[in-house]
Parts: sequence; structure tokens; C-alpha cells
Amino acid sequence: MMTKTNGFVRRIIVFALEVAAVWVIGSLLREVLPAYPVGIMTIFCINAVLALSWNLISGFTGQFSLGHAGFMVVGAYTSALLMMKAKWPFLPSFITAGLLSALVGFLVGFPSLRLVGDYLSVVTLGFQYIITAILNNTTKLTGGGLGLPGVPYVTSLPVAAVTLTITLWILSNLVNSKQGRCFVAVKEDEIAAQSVGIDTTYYKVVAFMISSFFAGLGGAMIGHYMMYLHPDVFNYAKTIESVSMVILGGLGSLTGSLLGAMCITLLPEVFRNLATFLGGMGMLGPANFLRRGWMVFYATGFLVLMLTRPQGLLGRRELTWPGFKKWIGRVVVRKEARP
Amino acid sequence: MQQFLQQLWNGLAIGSVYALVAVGYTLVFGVLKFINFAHGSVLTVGAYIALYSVLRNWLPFPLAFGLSMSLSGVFSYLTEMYAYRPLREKGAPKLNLLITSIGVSLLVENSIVVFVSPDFHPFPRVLPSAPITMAGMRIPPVDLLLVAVGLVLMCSLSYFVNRTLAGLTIKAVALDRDAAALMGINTSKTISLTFFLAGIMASAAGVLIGMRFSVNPYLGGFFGLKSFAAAVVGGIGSVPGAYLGGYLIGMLETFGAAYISSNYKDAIAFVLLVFVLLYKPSGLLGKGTQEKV
Repeated sequence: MMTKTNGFVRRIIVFALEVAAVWVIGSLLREVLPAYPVGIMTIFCINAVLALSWNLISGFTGQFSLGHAGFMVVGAYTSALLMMKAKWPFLPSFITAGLLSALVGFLVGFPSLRLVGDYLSVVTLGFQYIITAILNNTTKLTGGGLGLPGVPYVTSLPVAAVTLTITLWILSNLVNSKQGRCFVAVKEDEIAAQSVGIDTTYYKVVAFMISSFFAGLGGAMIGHYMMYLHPDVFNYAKTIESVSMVILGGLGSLTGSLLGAMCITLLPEVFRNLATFLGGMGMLGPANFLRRGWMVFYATGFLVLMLTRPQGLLGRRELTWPGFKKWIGRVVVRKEARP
Repeated sequence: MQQFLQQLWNGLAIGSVYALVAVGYTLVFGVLKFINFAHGSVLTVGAYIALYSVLRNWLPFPLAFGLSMSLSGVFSYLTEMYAYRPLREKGAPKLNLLITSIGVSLLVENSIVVFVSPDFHPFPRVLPSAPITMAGMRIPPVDLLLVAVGLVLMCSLSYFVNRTLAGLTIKAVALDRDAAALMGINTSKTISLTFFLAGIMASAAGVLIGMRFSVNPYLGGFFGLKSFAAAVVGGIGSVPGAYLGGYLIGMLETFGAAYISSNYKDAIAFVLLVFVLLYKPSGLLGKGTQEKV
């Protein structure tokens, strides 16, 4: 018992140190680097939180949600309005944003998750349209279709990086716990899970609420980063962005989501810079094509990935430090074994 | 009363569109048991084929309409052939099919934006635009065409599925694919046929909705989604259910916009969807299925 408690305390301390280190490194990078790479890194952290939250419900629990943007928008508006209208400080409004998203997730998830099948995808997608219609029409509170300017800027690189660290820590502990195993059991075979006494509806709803919670946090970070909100920012394409990050990295792999988020965040930047470079060289035709054509490239890549490697880059494996050392060891051994 | 009749007619017209697209979702869901998110993009492709054939004066409108329907049918067939069949043969999980269909719709939408044009195109005037006054209702000729084409296509599809041998194979495959294969039905051929039919119906809806509003790359995503809601409301897998769901959502939407508030028009379909899922998950005309080991 004693050792167990000590292990828990030790893990908490290690985690606190990690968070502190991430905060310090984030602050340092913000001071040292120019604004452009810092911006990309911040967006990467936000995207990674969104991808991780989608991965929990779809990658681990196997319930396909297509209305993730709906939960982001709930979080984004809640946090922004609490800070602007109710003059709350950042942290309480941020957490309230996540909690409200989770509550909405419960209301949306409960009717659709009782059913077997892909109904969740449609209901969540419909929910996203409903929430957009509501936000567009509550002009007095949210500014409606004119958008909500003047959202306070909070999401600096350290804030985003710390949020990502906390999200990753919670989710990796969750998926390796008893509850997490139940999520995976629901994904693998719902009937088999039921037959060993797993309340599938309960676990599906819980996973969906946790996923909505983090989606709400991600949405709130977007608002506090762009300093402006509009209901149409959080559209179907925004959901698909998170979906493609997870699929690229691997459904059911946390580090895969990080990898996927990194690739998808960098992709438009690479194309943009390449276009600027080609434009500078005088090749205007290809430059213009790249500027517009990256969307086709993205969609084609998406399809090719699904047809050739549907499990994503990592599949369900995780990138870990011991795994990395083992891999390095294998590579070295292979080289030495050569004549 | 007059306004009521007018709204009834409007609901019928827009409902025909939903019904035509919904039946495609239902047919494909019947044979493959997955939601084909790329079905809406077939509608967009159909609208663009008709638009360009008429705009460039390649073909007179009726021929362009026919060409658009057949080419979209072929397009739908090709998506099945090259995107879903390889996955199916590998025995990939259903989630992969779903994600692939999202990829297909992304590819179509983005290709149109990049290679054709991201703009909203009004359809060239091929019908007189003056509304016809009938029993106090003002009916644009396009609506008349919509309802008529909708009825003709739906009746022919029902006839085809229920009365011809090729149609009956679709029903058989939907009932039990393995058993159908054992009875000597070429299931791959039947699945291709299903996609072809779904494509024809969607493209007819796409051309007509393009004439009523405008042709744009996001047409399919928007109407496709609501039509899917219609298919689920009616009972996915049931052809009459798709018609019923389509007309029901069309009516509710127009009446909601006229008598309650037009701001929430796009949300009505999904509110109905949630209620139907809560109280009768198999849909209005669908048969409840029991998941078995």
C-alpha cells in the first residue's frame, strides 16, 4: 500500500516537473525565436489537443464523430464570453468552457450512442449545423454572423504547450487504465464487451464527454489565439482537419496524433513557402498552382493513405523512449553485422 | 390558406430533391451497410456537367440533363470500383470505408474549387422564369419540373427494384450478401449497379437544385447531409422510407421557415433526426434489426 501511494506521489511530482519544464522551454522559445515559427508551434499544440480528443472517441472507442467543430465552437464562445462579458479570469473560464462542452457532449451523445452503428457521425454533424445556426442568430450575445471581435489574447506558446502536456498526460493515463481498456473493448467488439459485463453505452458516453471536454479546451485556445470568433470558422472542414491528423498518425495511437498534427500543420506552410520561393524564382505558373493546389494534394494524399496504409503511419503503436532506444540499437547492430 | 398551399408546394419541390438523394444513401446502405459520404459529391458533379454543357452550348438542355445523369452514374460506379472495392476485398473495417468516402468527397470538392472555379454559378436560363399562377399559387416552372422529374424517377426506381430481375438482386444482396452470392447472384455486379442507380438519382437532384438556386462546389455537401438525415428519418435501407423522409423534411423545413423562423431552417432536419433516433431508431418505415453474433 505504502509503495503504491509513493508511486502515485512520485508520478504526480514528475508530472509537475514536466509541466514546469514545458512552460520554461515554451517561454524561452517565444523570446528567442521569430514570431512565425512560434506561431506555427502554437498552432501545432492547439491542433494536437484537438486531434488527441478526436482520437479518444474515434480511435480508442471506435465511435465516429463528425461534429467535433461543434464542441470546439461551444468551448470557444464560452471561454471568450466569460472573459469578455463576465470579466472572469482565464483559468476558470477556460475550464468552464471544457465542462460546458462535455455537458453538451452528453446531451448529443446520449440519444445517438445508445444505438449500434454510425448514427453518431450523422447526429454530431447535424449538431454542428444546429449550433452554428444558433450562434449566427443570437446576435446580442455572440455578435452572430458579424463575429465576435476583441477576444483577449491568452494562448501564447507556453499556455498552448502546457495544455497539450496536460491533455497528453491525462489521456495516456486514461487509455492505460481499466476505463481505457473498456473503451478499446467497445471498439473491438460491442457484443463481446457486453457479454463480459461492460456497460457499453456508459463507456461510450463517458468517452464522448471526455473527448468533448478537450475539444472545448482546444476551441477556447483557438479563440484566445485568433482574438476573433466567427461561427463559420468551426465548420465541417475544421472537423476533417482533426480527423485527417489522427488518421495520418494512426487511429488509437496518442503519439501518432501528435505526429499527424505536426504533418498537417506544416503541410500548408510548406506549400506556401514553396510557392513564395518559386514565385521569387520567376516561376509564376507553378507558384500559383501550388498556392491553390495544395488542397487537391491534401485530398489525394488522404485517399492514397486510406487505400494503401489505412492504419496510418504508426498504426496503434506508440512512439516511446525505450522503443526508440531499441530501434537505435537494432539499426546499430544491423550496421555492425555487415561484412 | 393561399400561403399554406404555396408553402405546401414549395415543400413538395424541395422535398423531391431530398427524396431523390436520400434514396441513393438508402440503396448503398442497403447493400454495403455503410454511409457513403461521397454521395453528395455525385450530386455536385452532376450539376457541373449539366451547367457546363449548357453554358458552352455543347448540348441542348434535355440532352445535357440526360448526359449529366448517365455520366454521374458512371462516376458513382467508378468511386465504388476504385475506392471502396479494394478496401472491401481486403476486408478492411467499416470505419475505413466511411473515412475513404470522406476522402472522395474532399477530393471532388477541392478539385472543383481548384481546377474549375470556386464561384457560385447561376444556371443559364433554359426554362421561362415567369411563375405560372395556378389556384392562387405562384409556381416557378423549375419547381414544376422538379416535382415531375422527381415523381417519374422515383416511380421508375421503385418499379425497377420491385419488378425486374436486376432490381430484385439488389434487394436480395441487401437482405443477405452471402446468401445472395450462394444463390448465384453476382454481388459485385449488383453493388456496381446500386451505385450507378444512386448516382443517376443524385445527379437529377443536383441539376434541378442547381437551376433553382445556383451551382457551387459545396452544393453536394450541404444537400447531401440533409438528405442523409431524410434517409435515416424514413428508415435507412427502405426505399419508400427515403421518399417519405425526403418529403417530410422538405415540408417541415418550408413550413418551419414560413411560420416559425427562417433563421433556423437548416437546423430543423437535424432536430427531427434526433427525435426520430430517440423514439424509433430504425426510422419511420425501417425494420428494426437485432445485432447477432
